[in-house]
Amino acid sequence: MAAEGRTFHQINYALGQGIQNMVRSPFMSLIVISTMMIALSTLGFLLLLLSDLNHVSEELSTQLKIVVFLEDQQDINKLASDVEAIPGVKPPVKKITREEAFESMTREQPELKELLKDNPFPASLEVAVNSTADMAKVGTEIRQKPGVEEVQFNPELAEQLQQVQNGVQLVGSIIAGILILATLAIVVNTIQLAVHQRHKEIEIMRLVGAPQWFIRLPFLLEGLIFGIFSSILASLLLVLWRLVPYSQLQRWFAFLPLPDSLMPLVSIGALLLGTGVLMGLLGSTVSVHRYLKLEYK
Amino acid sequence: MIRFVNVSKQYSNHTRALQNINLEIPAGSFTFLVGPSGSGKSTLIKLLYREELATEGEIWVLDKNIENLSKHDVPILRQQTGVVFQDFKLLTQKSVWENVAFALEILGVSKQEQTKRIQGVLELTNILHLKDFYPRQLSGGEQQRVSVARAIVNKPPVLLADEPTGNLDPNTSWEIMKLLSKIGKTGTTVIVSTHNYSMVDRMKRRTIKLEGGKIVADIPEGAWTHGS
Ligand SMILES: Nc1ncnc2c1ncn2[C@@H]1O[C@H](COP(=O)(O)OP(=O)(O)O)[C@@H](O)[C@H]1O
Ligand SMILES: [Mg+2]
Repeated sequence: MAAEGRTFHQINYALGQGIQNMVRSPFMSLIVISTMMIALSTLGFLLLLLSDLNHVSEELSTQLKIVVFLEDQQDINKLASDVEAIPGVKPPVKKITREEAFESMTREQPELKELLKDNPFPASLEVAVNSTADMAKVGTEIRQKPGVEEVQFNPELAEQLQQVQNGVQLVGSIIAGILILATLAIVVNTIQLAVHQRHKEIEIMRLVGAPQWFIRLPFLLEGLIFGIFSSILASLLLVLWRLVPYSQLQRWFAFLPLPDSLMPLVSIGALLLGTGVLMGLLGSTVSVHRYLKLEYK
Repeated sequence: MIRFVNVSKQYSNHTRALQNINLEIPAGSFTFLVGPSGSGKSTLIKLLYREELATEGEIWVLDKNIENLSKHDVPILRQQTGVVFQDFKLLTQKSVWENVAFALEILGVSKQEQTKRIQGVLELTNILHLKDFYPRQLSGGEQQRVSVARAIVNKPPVLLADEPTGNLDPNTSWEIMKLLSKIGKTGTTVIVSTHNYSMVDRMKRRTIKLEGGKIVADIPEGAWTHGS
């Protein structure tokens, strides 16, 4: 028989064995899948929380603007395009002419209209920045432009927001890293149990001369399937959370700009799938390797 | 065919299981390995299928010094060396047929070819009528026949049996020995370890006696009598 035909038969059989193994020890499969699911959904929640916090602080920081008051008789359009050219400024810069300022002020307090003969309000620009970290720098730069009377912004608030954002990201990444390592350890040890449960089969495979890849393949397949199943379940859990309790949270914390799309779940789900598959494959590789290293001399 | 040249085996705990073994076993011959418990019989057999590595010396099997085999080549050696043990080593959740098929599946033998070979080997070992039974439904002798069938289904030139009758009553033991002898007559090199001297007496085959890891007697075919 042709060698490729044989290899095909071997692969086929090994994969069949992997599936049979899982079906024949459903309890073991259940343990591995639920352990991985818990770890992956914790990771998912963490990522979702980070993404939501990031969204909230981005939203808050775009509400922070630099207000630039112009000296009299300045060309507002020219200054606006000068400011837009400053790196870190998020175009477009909003222009408020003297007339518009007068309009909006007198609309709020109509009695002013009678009191004021001239228009005392200066023209101004409202400048948003890409990152709150740049706010102080951008503010100082604008202040040096000719024709600028005054610049108003709150660098401390911006900075604090930025610090909170950085802190959350750092703590989040550390927790995520620890979680991934801990899960990997759990997966390695649980699959080790599964490998051990089949030590007799492995022993016989070795005795009758099974190549090492043939012994490994069923476990790799199991790891892969465990990874896929558990990450899909974890993602479903996240969707469920987003659909039910989260909308309640949104109602309670209506003052916070909480995101309400399911979009972050798509990328988080993909990430969980990747992590799950990788952990499953890596976990089974490590545990089978550890096992066989003791056996083959 | 099989040759030991100055072979010694010392386990990591410093037990000297075999000392300076020199031995030649011709192709197609039948050889008994006898000796008291702890004399090194199992160790000698383990060296032959590379379950253990010798501490010193060369072991030639099928024109290769198997001490030099790479990890990758060990499975190939084992495909050419059937092994049978005292405890049968059958998979309890597989039927007789599936247990034997297992040895062919891992080599990628097609279903058609499998059917032909398994049929033949189950007839040879006289258990074709048990093909759909599971190991727990079989007697010890029947289980050992399954294990022998699995060991030879791939037509290995060498068959090793380590105390194959250790768990069996005398009558059943005798049947298994006759089976191994029958396999020996088909050109397979058979090596059987045992401490069942009455069996060895009856068979009158070449017998190598170990004591304390050394060969103390090598009695040619027909010459063995108990106590020699
Ligand atoms: N894996 C091992 N590690 C250490 N010592 C061993 C090991 N296997 C066997 N021995 C020792 O080697 C000697 C020979 O054992 P063995 O080959 O099993 O003899 P037999 O099969 O004739 O009873 C004994 O003293 C035994 O205790
Ligand atoms: Mg022994």
